[in-house]
Amino acid sequence: MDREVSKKEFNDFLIECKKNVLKMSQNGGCFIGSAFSCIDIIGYLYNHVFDIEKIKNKEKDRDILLLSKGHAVSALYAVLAEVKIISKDRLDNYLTNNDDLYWHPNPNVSGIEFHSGSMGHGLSIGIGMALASRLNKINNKIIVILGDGELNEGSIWESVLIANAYNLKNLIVIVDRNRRQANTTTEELIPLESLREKFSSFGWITYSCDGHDINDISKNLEQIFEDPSNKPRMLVANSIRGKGIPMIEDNPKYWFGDFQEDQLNEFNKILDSQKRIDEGK
Amino acid sequence: MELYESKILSLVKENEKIVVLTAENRVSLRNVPEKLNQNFIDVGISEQNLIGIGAGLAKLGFLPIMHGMSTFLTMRAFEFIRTDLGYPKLPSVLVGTFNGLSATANGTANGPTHQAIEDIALMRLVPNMTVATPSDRLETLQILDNISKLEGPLYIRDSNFESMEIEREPFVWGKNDCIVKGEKIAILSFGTMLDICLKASKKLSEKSISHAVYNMRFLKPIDEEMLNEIFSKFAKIIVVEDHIDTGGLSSIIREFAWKNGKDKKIIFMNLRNNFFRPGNFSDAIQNTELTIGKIIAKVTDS
Repeated sequence: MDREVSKKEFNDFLIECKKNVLKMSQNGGCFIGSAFSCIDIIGYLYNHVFDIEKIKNKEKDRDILLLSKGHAVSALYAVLAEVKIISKDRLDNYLTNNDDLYWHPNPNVSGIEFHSGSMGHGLSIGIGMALASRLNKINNKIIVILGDGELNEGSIWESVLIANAYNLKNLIVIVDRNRRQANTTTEELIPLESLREKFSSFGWITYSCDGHDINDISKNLEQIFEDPSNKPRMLVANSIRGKGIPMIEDNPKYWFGDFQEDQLNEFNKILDSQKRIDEGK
Repeated sequence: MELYESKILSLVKENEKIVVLTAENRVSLRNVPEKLNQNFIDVGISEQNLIGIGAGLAKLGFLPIMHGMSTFLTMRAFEFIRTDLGYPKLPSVLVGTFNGLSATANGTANGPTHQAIEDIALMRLVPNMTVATPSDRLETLQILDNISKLEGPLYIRDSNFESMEIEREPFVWGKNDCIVKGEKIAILSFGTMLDICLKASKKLSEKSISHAVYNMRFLKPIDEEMLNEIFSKFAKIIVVEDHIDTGGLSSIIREFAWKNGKDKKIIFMNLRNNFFRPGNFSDAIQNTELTIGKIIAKVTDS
């Protein structure tokens, strides 16, 4: 962990990130359900793990995050704005011709390392980047966030085989395991369980955590970073789509959301009420 | 050691940012892996990952040269090529082997599953892509000599032919080449078919029938200056290509003529919209209209 942050400070940081997502949930909307299922982990990475200055300066040994489930980009933009990699004002330009922020990650936006949107690409890009680090003799982390529905794509499983073959120990996959995809639950459509066993039988070392419990995320990521194995590693982050707003939590109607102002005011109040009052470190 | 292998090794020696990748297609790379160590990456039979991995390397400043059989490289991985190389305009090289009728050096016995007869159409579709169609290994090597200057992805429809013994103008990037100079009729071809056209040309010359043969080794962007020259100089143009009628050189010439209001007698000899029978090269070609005899007939038929 690069810096000490109090639990209260971090909790409030995440609430601000989520409120940033709400800004993008109107006038055309965003994939709010998908964003809220992975925003805690993305927030944790930028707040506790990554060196923001290195990312801003595109330093060669910066850690790299690839959001392969590109439709959750409102979570990433929300966090990039909160850690000041992009200006917060830009979120007001979301989906307008004045800026580059739309439904999928745009490489013209600072902090976006590679565009995504089409499912099943990000892990192969991550392998290429991990091999680049090896050639450059750099010991950075390449972290790829995959959706669980995205695991339907055959190209992912090619990647899972290849990352093992090349012993890419700097490659970390986080599966945002919210158990839903566009129209149905993952287990009803194409069952993924036992997911960890699938990856471990492909040679990966695997972990799992509650994707919304900061202590659990922290503990598992630290173990992943310190694991001496030379194998690629994956973390199943068990999550809930739309986490934080009861009306949309695990509600199949809100993979995507485009809300009116009064509704958003109510959501903002709900989030504000989750701010912690007096917890110390 | 083959010419191609020596070239690859010398390129990596000069530029350590070059990484040689293959989707387990090592026919032209047999002696390369043990000499390149980490600069050689074989991803196994997975063309989509070949491109994605190449794109990840390219994004971080490496220059990937990705090898595969043209059919699988351009079709299986098409969306990866379009989205991960074309859209971000990443300097990168795709080398597709076993094209059109020349599925292998000694035949096309693999059949329709392996025939790359629409690869040019697909690669031309991708914005930012350059398409090169060398006629022999010598030209492939000349193209590879220029890759450090690339500003986007390049598709090379590699030829399996060793160097043809013909006189050529000095190689200029992006420019096509007049191999046989003459008047009245221009034959435009590239790749493996150039050899067939030159054999037809020899017979035509023996009969004192004036004609020219052009080697169209760069198809995108197309050398418009040369096309203008060809359209003004010749009364008849014959296009010969081992590619379907749509999207290849036949399409390029039609598009050029229409765009520039050129009214010209043009004959298109290609693979139409067919799959063709497998067989040894000399047999397989008999099942198409791309034979020496048929080319001669089109030239002399006025």
